[in-house]
Amino acid sequence: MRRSWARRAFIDLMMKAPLLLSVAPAGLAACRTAGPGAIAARQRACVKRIVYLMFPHPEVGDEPYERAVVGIFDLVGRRPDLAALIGQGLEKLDGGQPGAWIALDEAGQVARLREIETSPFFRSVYQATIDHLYNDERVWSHIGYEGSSFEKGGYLGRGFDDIDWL
Amino acid sequence: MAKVFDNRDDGVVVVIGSGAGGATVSRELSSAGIKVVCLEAGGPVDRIETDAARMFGKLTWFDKRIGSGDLPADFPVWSGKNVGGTTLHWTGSTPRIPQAEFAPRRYFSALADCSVIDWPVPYAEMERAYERAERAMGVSGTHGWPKLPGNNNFRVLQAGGRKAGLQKIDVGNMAINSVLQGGRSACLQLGFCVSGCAVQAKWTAANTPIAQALETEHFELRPRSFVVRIETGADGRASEVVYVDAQGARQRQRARAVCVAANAIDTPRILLNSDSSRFPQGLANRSGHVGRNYMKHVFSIVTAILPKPVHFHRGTQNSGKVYDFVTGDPARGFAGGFAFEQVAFDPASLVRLARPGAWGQEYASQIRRYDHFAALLVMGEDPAQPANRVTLHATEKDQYGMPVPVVHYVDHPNSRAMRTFAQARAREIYAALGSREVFFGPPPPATHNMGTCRMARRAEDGVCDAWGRTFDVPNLFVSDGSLLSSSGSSNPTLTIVALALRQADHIKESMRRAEL
Repeated sequence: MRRSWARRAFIDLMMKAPLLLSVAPAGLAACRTAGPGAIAARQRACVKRIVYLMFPHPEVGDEPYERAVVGIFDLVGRRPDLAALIGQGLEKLDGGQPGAWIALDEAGQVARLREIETSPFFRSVYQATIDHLYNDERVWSHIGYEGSSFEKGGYLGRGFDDIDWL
Repeated sequence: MAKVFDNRDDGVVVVIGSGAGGATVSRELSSAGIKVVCLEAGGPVDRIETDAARMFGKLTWFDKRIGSGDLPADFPVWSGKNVGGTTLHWTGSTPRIPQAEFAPRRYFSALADCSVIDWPVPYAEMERAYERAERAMGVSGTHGWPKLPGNNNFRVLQAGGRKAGLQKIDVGNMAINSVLQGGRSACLQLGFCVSGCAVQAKWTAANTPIAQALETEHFELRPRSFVVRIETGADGRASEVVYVDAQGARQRQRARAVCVAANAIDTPRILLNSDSSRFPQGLANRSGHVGRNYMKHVFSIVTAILPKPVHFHRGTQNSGKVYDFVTGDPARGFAGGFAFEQVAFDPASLVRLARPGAWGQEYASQIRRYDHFAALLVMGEDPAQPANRVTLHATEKDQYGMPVPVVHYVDHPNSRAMRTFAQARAREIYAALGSREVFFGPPPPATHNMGTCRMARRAEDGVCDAWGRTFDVPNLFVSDGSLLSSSGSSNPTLTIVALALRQADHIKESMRRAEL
């Protein structure tokens, strides 16, 4: 159910901004280009990298991170205050040089994020990341959360007390 | 069939709030033939889904509240805004407050900056009220209803607790059906107790007392009716309740008597906003205690990664208790006692609560082992402090034009000592099973909100008498957790229902004697 909901939001966004999404996969290169579409793409690529560095689960692949970014920018689209916060936050992260942060190696990126981890920008992305990434069914199955059991009659006959190693 | 009453009908009892207390009073009075209008700020919950994030959105009170002191500034407490109030969100835990905790001055009197009082209700009366409340709620583990079976999280708590030398480990009494009764299903161990319970195995104010009241000829529920003020007449009695209806229009409902049950934040908020020339400090606030003595239990979330899978998300979230530390012992370095209660979280909540603010490789690898987690909540007795209080913001107003409530709370040093001790004991439970990763989270935004219009023996010590009737206004009652004279170390809902049952008896009797 959640996946279809996320997909709807995803399709919604594609309809609204086809250009933006087609530029997004250009990733790092896009981060160094100017122009309104490219700025949006650069922002998305940077936020996606931040989301990954906050909670890296390489085994789940790219898709949950992409979905999280779609979800975050869906929210940004509805909240001008958040759009401004993210725009300014990313500028600061780059230290005034567009593309500077994402060009760092992983250790450098993480170190820079640690410096700003109490900023409102970082906290906002952090909260939104938890909401999206950890409500993603691919991530759920990876970490062992089974979600709703209502459709299957509950966990009563499905292991609610099956622990056998105590 | 439900009734519709005229706004000018001054023969109705107006109940503000449809949670545990308000719904219980509504049911008791309407089933005795007394006319009741229940004004509920929220709407009915259309569909309960087994999805923690979506239900959080549906059930939570999101209107602006400001936290100060130790509380989160933007979300100081966690309560419900819907028909049934916070009972849709609650876990179903229904322990009685033990007798010793009805006289907390015995162990708390030496604490500085406190305003601890003993309860004005004799314990024998509380026992009778508890019995009635347990029957009304169908509490499993009481009156012949079998206890719920323990789930994996419980079995970890039990095995670890025993190895750590603890003895009073139990699934506890729960207002969740272990067998079909009261027209509600038996528990299927869905694991979404705090998201409303999709099979209605959990008692809620909506599925039992409100449903029962609606079957009488004497009850009208008005959802999306947000009360802003209670008016008093020339005789000093509550005469009218002013509320904003679903269309945003101001309405007035005349009243024979008023029962305020809007949760311990909004009950004092309404009284403070009902000031008048007769009551310049707020309605029923001659004592100055309205909004003061706010208590929320000494909480801490303890999560642990066990060596092998637990699957703590499967089944009832809160049905596991440790009562070894309920009786206080000064040798521990603090006064009062605490319980452990098992809890379980969906992934997003676990990430937020296990190590708040943490991120990166290490934390992700810990969350990767979600299915190895077990968790418990420390729940300790919170001494009343007059400075912990609910006030009205001087300038800021909400969408109803009502001043925003400011909730101030600072932990007493006794509570900090208790929390540290309890965390160390909790670590022993999980370490006994081989866990080397035990995390102590800060207190979550409280759902146990108590004491802000407390019952007292003397009018100078509180807002209400032993029946929950305000000392200052003879036809004004408080019918929710605001009433609790002390917090005890037990989940408050059973006590709220027990007090509401007693209060309804008192109102019926007063009406029979034409005193109300």
